[in-house]
Amino acid sequence: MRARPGLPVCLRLPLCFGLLICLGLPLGAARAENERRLSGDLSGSLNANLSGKLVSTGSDTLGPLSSQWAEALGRRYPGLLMQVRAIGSGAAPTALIQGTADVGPMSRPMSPAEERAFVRRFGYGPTAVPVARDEIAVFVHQDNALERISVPQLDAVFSATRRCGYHRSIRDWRRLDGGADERIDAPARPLNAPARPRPISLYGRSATSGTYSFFRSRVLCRGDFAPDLNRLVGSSAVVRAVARDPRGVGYASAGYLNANVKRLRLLAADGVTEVALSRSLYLYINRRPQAALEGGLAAFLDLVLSAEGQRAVRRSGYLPLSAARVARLRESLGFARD
Amino acid sequence: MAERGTSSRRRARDRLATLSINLAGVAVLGLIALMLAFLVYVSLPLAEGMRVGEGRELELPTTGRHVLSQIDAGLWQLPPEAAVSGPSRARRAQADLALELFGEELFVYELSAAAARDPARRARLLGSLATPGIDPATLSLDSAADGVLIVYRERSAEKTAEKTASLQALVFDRRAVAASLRRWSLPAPEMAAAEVTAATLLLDAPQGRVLALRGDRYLLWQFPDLRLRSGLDGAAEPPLGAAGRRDRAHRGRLAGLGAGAGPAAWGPGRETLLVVGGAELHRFDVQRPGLPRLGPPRALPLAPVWLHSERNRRLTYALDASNTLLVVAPGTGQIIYRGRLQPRDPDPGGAAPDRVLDHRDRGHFSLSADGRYLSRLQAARVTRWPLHSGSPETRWRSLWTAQWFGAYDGPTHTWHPDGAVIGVLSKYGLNPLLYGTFKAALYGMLIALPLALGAAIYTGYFLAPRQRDLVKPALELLEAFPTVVLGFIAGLWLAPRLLDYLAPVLLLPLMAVLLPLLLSALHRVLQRLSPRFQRRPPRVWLLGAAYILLGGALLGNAEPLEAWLFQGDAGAWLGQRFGLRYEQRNGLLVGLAMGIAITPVMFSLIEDAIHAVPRSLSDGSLALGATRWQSLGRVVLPAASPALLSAVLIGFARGLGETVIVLLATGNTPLMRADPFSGLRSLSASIAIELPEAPVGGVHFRLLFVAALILFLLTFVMNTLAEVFRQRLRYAYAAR
Repeated sequence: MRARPGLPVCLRLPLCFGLLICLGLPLGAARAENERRLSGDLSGSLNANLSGKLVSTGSDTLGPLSSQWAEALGRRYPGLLMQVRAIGSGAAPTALIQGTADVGPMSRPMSPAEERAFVRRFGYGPTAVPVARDEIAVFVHQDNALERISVPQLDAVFSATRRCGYHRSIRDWRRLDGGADERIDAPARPLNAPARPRPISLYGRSATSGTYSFFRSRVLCRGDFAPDLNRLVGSSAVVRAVARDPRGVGYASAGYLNANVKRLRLLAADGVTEVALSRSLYLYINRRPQAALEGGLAAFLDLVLSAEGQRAVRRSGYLPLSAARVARLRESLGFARD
Repeated sequence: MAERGTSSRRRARDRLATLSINLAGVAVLGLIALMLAFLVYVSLPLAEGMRVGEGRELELPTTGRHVLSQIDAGLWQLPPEAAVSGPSRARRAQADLALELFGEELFVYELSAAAARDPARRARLLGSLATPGIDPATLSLDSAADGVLIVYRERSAEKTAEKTASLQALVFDRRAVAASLRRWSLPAPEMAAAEVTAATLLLDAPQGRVLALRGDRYLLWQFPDLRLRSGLDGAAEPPLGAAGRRDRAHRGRLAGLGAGAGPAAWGPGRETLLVVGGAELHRFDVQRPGLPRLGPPRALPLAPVWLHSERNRRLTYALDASNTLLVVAPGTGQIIYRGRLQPRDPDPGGAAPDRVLDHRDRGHFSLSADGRYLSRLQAARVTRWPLHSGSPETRWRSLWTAQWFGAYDGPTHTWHPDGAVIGVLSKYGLNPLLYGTFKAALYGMLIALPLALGAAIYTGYFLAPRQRDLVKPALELLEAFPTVVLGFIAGLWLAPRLLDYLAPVLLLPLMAVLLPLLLSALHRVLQRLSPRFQRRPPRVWLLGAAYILLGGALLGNAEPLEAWLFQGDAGAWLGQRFGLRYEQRNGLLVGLAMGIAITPVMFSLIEDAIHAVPRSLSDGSLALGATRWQSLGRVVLPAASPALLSAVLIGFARGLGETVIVLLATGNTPLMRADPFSGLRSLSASIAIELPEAPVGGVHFRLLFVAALILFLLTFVMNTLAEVFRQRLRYAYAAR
């Protein structure tokens, strides 16, 4: 009889718990550090000797752009460190309320419930600073013959509810014009043979993302997504999945598209006018009413709403704000003219 | 002397060891109990029912004239641009609106809570409009964060045109530059004047909808001009899909509803229409043309005279003539509360009844927007009943039953918890998640069990000790492979390739069965032909080589195979032949990744058990003339069977709790399809995805804890069972 190697259960479990506690400790430490930081390390006006740490938690869509801004900020103020966590817009309000983030990038406005939670915690509302405009693109595999799709059709493709009024749901490419078996490499079929089923595979973002909610409220008329929508983590995962699936259709921020997918033109319900799915991207901050912005946060927003910051917007594939709008925003935040 | 000293030290050390081990054990049990208690503590408020407090009379700020109704306004939602300029405007959110009809003129007041100390200034006039020929009995209203939608019938229309009734709609918009009242006429082409008077009018300001209902006949107007933003929706811009849709008014009959229909109301979230008919509650879909019926009617234990639903919870309130309140979840028909309103019969005295504009003697009941108060306006006095409720709309039963939601094609098990962000109701059905959890674990087992069992038998029974000492640790090292990596490989690398190589993958199981048969048949033939093959049995590596060769041949010829067997598209072939939809992220993919993750654990357990079966047993059977296979099948495996079972249970429990693989390899699609080519969403993945964004303390948050509790209990029971089986094996051979 040979003894079984390994720890008995009574020892294995405490080890696991110990591990959990060890994992939890750094989080607590980070929180404590954050509170220390908020208590006034960063006071003082804008100057080149700014130092400290800024944390940004929120939108995945704004992630690359935030990183670019963070880099530029590091160049301007070498002592200022900025950390960007791109999880999804849903994470921003929670992080701002808990004080674990200074900036909450969001690709949608805060919901009333989120705003209420913020007001309950601080007694005043969060401040939203629009920083860029983003376009959501709907795209298919590059071999797909489809060129355009109307919004109600898109609703019938993606939703379980068809609240935009299309008469039946679309689950097969044959139901869309130009979507019949037209793959170039497909073998020619006899004229009278029935077209083979080509079920549509749906790809989208997971529910934490602002893109998901935006698509839901503007394209699905606030209906529900079909249960077989593949909810992937991250915009680039959506693009990659559609690029490899000849039957796939997906939506993501236009900045993420590449040559392996084909963007569809979107038409309004009348089927003629072309429409664009664009939205504002925001940075949410916690600003006491009438209080001037200070320290690293002011430096960051000053950068974002500068010519340099807006150039980064264009580089990342988003649409920058108009100069007049930037000027208005700068004024409302108490910054000097750029 | 010295010896006694060391022995006492040894004894002390022993005692210390015993103590610390016992302490650790107790601490572990305590921690498990604490964790369980925490899960229960967080999820328990879900089970809380509803309580209705005692009614309190409030003094209604009066302007000295008739007050028609007080409206509970929601939070004033500011557009983000406005928020930059400072939150001072948001304070106005707290103000209630009051409407007043004086003669034939309608006034809108703001009842400001801020100016409470100065009664004279409490009501501020916001706007007024002449409403000639108004019939007060037909006046209905609906409030949104931005204002009020008011609809009434013109009495004068009766005289001028007998056939057509003229319904007037007023929109009071607080957000307009100068808060103003605007008026529209609602064309009612085919409903006679008398009918409109008697009809129930249902208004929906956020959608710009007006519904007139009489018996089973309805008239529905939908005008974008009437739309007011509600405090519940976050999206400032209207849906694109609805843009370009023309204004419309249409009429029809509600199916299956007798002419004797009772009160009607919007359903929860205004997704449905609820009509009482024949002591039953009927549901209709207001989002589909023709207002189709949603499932069979639900029996009601009382005859309601008033019906109202909450905006953000799936609850409907009904009152009968004796003021008995019934709270029901219309989707499931479950009754959540039933009781008389207290105090029983408030004194109807006070103001002269003829001054009250509401034609019903019982008073005008209304439900506050947040569902916290039921109030009644009667003779310019308000009685308020506080409603205490945790989350009564989410009952244990509603989590597991199929519900027919508005705009759906039929009853479904739906997990769609993310509605709050855009101002619609969430749908919480846990069934698809539990289904997905089991599906992932089962497909994982399908891959892992043959692999683990085969490998364990080979290493534990056939392999020489020296080779075994090499192979076993190597296989067990696989367990240290991070599941994140497995998930990533499966999701990003394997998923698209699985589609490219679908034809050979479909053929591989067939090959696994056919190849041994084919080879043994070949061996038979060779035996007949030449005596040389009779002596030497075929080598194992020969079989392995044949497998690898054929597998490679299949995978290498994916495209010709697909063209030959599946007409060029294996996915389409599956759909045509079996009606299956091939999804890129599917159960097979998860099974493969999960199988690789589970195999080492199961292999290790089974191998140990097989190795632990005393050599004497199998030696005995071999001595009696059994072959090694016979001895394995009849002696060793039965002896190790409890451990086999325990390994299966532990592997399964591991599969149930697995998170990262399911999260990354699947599309997280809450489906309930068993076939290997459709996707799934598991409990654990849902917790991982949704917990960070679920508002703390909300229904969604607590439901995720319920999911965690279910997972905990499942794995706890399985692991305990597995441990019991293993202990049994250990005791069975302890004596030998």
